[in-house]
Amino acid sequence: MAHSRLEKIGTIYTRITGLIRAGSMSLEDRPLWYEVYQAFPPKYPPRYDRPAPVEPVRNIFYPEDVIRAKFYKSVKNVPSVNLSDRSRPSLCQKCIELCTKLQKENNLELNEAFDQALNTILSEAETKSASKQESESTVGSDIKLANQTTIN
Amino acid sequence: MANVLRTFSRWINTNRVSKDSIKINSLWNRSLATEAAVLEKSSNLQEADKLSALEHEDFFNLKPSFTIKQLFDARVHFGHKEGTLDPKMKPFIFGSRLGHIIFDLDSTAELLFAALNFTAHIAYRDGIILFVSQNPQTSYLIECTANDCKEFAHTRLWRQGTFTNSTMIYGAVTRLPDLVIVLNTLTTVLEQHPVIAEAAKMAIPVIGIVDSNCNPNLITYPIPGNDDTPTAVELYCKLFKNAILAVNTRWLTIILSREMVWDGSHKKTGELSSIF
Repeated sequence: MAHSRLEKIGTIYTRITGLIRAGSMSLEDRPLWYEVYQAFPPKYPPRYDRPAPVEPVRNIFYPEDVIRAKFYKSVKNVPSVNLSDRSRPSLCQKCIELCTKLQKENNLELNEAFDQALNTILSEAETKSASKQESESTVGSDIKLANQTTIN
Repeated sequence: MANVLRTFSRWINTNRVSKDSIKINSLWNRSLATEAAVLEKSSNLQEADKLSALEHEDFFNLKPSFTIKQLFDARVHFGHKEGTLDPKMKPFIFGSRLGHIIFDLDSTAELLFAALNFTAHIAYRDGIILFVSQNPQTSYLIECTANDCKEFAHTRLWRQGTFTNSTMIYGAVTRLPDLVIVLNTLTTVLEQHPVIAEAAKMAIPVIGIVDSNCNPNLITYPIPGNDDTPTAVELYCKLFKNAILAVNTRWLTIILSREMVWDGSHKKTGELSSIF
């Protein structure tokens, strides 16, 4: 098939159209995609020299990012998080939720609301871990007892 | 029904290359139950039958095949770090989150649909589709996808001239693919896959997943999105496979809906040419 191999000039469609118009390619020899391209032209013409826009990349920030930053500044040992488990919110997410709730309900300032929220969240986490340890230790003693009975 | 398929296959054997026999066989193998289900499919398809394939904007009913939530869950929106951004990708990105590029999934969904639609139309016209990637992590998946939809894959080192010098390389005149789907447009961190320039030289349209560090200019139907994460690549493969296999379903509905016309009179040539 005789056609231009200069991929940097025009698009595949304009090159084939030019060949057909000039008579060097008969209409029967047109590529299979020709009509499909005509019916559904791409949104951006695939030209090699399509210029890039000059606008700067915008930054994505959310209002709650302030709370997030405060949280990670004040909490040094963040517990590990399972990223694929979306049912359980992380400690930071809980803090953000509580903080915004306190801000709305009690008309508190951001700093006050954040301190309250952080205290409640941390104390909750502590009590949870303490109860977990307790239950583990009781299970351990049960096993010990069981072992003793089998030995006896 | 059998009569129709026989005339259909005879027609196709005289006009097309050997690849068609696979598609005819897959039509034969369908059970009667699936045929009935196809006939009762949504009204969108029945409406589409009234128009010719290219007049309808979604002839293969591909719009419902994915949602933006699915794209998000497959982590399609994650780009690379801001420093590696190719400025030509700017129209497709939403912004930068603490130094990481995030894609605009609205534009991704629009372009992905255009690409899927184009793929299905090429498959409908019995074009050869070639899946290309040089990422070792996903090459097996891509080869399996190509195998499942009876198309072709190239996931190894690309020899210069595979398209442009195919007659010499294969020792005979070779039919080149009619569409190239590139699932990773880079070979190394910096270099573009040579298939893109070669396909552009040979006037073969290219569909490509372009990450934030890729150049989308020579790609006919670019799909901005994450090309490194396995879940994202799995989603793309699944969608392209669906689009190609949707064509078989359309063939069957068309054949069954024209059965009445064909059985009565013997105006086969006229009817067939109106389909193709």
